[in-house]
Amino acid sequence: MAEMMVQVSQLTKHFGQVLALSNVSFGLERNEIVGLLGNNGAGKSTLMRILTTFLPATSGTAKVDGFDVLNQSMEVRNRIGYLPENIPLYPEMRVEEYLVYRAQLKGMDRSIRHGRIDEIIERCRITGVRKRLLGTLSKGFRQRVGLADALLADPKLLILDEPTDGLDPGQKQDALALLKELGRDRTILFSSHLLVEVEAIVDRVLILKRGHLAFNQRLAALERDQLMLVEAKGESGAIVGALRAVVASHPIETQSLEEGWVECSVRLPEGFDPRAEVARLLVERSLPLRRLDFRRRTLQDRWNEINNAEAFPSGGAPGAANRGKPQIARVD
Amino acid sequence: MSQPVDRLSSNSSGITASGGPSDLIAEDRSLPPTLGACGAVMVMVGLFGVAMHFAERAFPVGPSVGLVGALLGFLLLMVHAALERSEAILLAYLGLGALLMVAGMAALVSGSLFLEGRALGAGGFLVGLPLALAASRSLGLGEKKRKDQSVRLAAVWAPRVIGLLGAIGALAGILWLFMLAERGDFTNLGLPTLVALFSLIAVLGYLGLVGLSSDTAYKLGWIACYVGMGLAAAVIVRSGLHAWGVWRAQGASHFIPGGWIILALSLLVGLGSFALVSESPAVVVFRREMAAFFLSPIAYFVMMAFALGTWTSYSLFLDRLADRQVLEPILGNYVIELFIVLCVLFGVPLLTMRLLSEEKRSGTLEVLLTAPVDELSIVLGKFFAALVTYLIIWLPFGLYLLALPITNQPGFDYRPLMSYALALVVSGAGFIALGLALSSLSSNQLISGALTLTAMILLLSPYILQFRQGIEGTAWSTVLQHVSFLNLWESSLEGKLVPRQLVFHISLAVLSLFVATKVLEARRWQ
Repeated sequence: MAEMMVQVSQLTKHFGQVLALSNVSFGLERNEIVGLLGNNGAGKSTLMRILTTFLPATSGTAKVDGFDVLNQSMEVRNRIGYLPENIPLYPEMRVEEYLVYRAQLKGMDRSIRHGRIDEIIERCRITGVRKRLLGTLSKGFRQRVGLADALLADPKLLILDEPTDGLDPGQKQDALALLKELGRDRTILFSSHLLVEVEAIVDRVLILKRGHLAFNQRLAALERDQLMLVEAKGESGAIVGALRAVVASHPIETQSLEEGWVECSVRLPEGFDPRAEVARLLVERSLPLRRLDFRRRTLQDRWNEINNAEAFPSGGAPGAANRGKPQIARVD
Repeated sequence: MSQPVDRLSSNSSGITASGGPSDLIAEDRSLPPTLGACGAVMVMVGLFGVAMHFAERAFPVGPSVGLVGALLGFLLLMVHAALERSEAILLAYLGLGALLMVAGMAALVSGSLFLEGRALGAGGFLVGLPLALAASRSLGLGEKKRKDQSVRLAAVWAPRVIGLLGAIGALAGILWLFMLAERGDFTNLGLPTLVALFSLIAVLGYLGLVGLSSDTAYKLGWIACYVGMGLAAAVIVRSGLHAWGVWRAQGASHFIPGGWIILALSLLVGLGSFALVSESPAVVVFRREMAAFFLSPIAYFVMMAFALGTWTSYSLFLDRLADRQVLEPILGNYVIELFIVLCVLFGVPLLTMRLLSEEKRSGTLEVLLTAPVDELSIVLGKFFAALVTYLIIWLPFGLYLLALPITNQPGFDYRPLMSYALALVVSGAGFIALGLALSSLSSNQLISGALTLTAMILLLSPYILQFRQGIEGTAWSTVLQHVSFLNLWESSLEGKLVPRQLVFHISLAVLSLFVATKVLEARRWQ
């Protein structure tokens, strides 16, 4: 598929004994905004470093705009803008000097360079600090300078490692709006810890879990899924049995609540609404019903499913709220 | 490095910080005035010492030490001028710099004030230029806050006037050369050439200050580059023709004594402007590294240590000269000295240890290596920046030698200095490349520095080992001689450049650069 912006197939990366990425394959289309999610240590930065040609993969291939990151690294580097985690900058340089330096390194032509730098400075809103030393900038301005650098050569692919990390809420909004705007005519791959912000702007979501690609879907597809929530009192087997009679083989998850109440969530395809049927059947079987609800399945739901899929979930799940919750048993 | 003066006033809009924490926040406010005060005292005492010498009065500060002290004092004044923000002081510096440049150029052209007028004139010009430029840059930086219209004009126009006069001087010098050539007068080419070259240096200073964002400045830079290279080529061709007897102009000076000064200066102008204007990745990296050396105190501190070390050995040298205990090569007594060797041993690791380690530690290497730049360009850029810094750090050493004849010391044969300069470049290339390779191995500067220090001591050891019993007189001794950099220095100070002594250092440099490149690439192997 030559028209893909990024094509990754069976990418594996070992650091000594540690498996950082395992058999990861995906493709990103042009002009797609892609959110890369995962816990700390899930392999997000490693994946990005491989795509930016900084690190080689142990096995598998990755292509950017049709060029192999290992063998055609210069072609790839000409097409990407990269903002690493923690935004390393030279403290003794001034903002404008740094951008001129980076533009020269990227081989931008003299005739367009200064106009372009002025434009980027305006766009990333660092006009007020253009004469400041990089070492004296606050985190928010560092992020913007790093982003300005990544944008300089007008790359087709932007790779941003946690671009909103450490920003205050207002700055986050600004940064996301800027990404959304930039994503109109380029591909953006960015990683984040915050599901909400990812959900707000991305077209596609990738979730890495301990080096495995656990989820890869367009958000539009995700939104078509919906959940039916049922809270009834009784033996969970009986309740599930009643539900099965209506929804057949669609996946059901149960969770025990207080005083014998059981919550069941049923994943349903779009347009299928069996609520009346369920209510009738539960009442028929004398199972008290207190909630019968329809809800879009959010990214958070998928996140929880993925991260709770094993008996011992990996530490540091972002939705700290779900840590205290009882374990969800899968019944599908 | 480049701060376009014209655009300084255009940065008013923006959401924050226009009046907030400013440039000086990271810099210690009390340091610049202290440096300036020290510099002023050194300049005054030093110049007073020189004046007392010419007045034939006794004064505790001798003329040569006084001269060098004054030059170092001027260096401190420059640092102060670059960091100071107070208008009055900056204007004073600007005036002083302009005065020195004018007086220096006048002395250079007339050369009749007294015997050493030209040398002093050249020195004055070269000191005044950066002082004036540094002061006007600082005036320009604080421009927004300045209300006084005349100060603003001074900040904008002072560098322009310097650049303009430089360009006129360069043209005049070259026209003068052509006129002399037309008349068939080949005896006095030296002076117009010097005028042209010094004017070109002023133009380069101007370009360095305003940056090369405008096309005119960019083209001017290339012209200066071609002129410098052309003059260098002319000197080489002319000296070559003379040496082989193909063409001898009537009484014309050739390589010795005037030619090599012109060659060195024109190479300086040519290569200097190339380094300013070229946009090949290695040169871009070179410029950034030079800025990193000279915008942080590291280069100045190493330079200070060198100045002290060479001062010690110079004063010992003077004592020996006074006792008439010196054998030719006289300069050997000055150079092959414990303090200088110590300075090199410790100076090289200090210069090289951060080159790659720092980038690895801070993560900037990741940014650098994901830009479309190959590893070799990065290594070469860093190597040449450190090498040039290393050579600049030797300047105090050369300054003492310049001071020597002015103070009526017995004359010495200066020609070995040429071969010594070459030996210094070649051995320095070996050291710096080695340090760079060792710096690529670790992300900890201290480890890189300690490794380099060890390597430097290993490189010194052949000089001592070759005289040990059981080694002296054997083939090993010969091997050690060819490996030892002090042997190379010694023979070059005798005016000899022995290729087989250069081989080791050149191969060390090439091998080390190769290793550094491969280490950077190695992250991509596995």
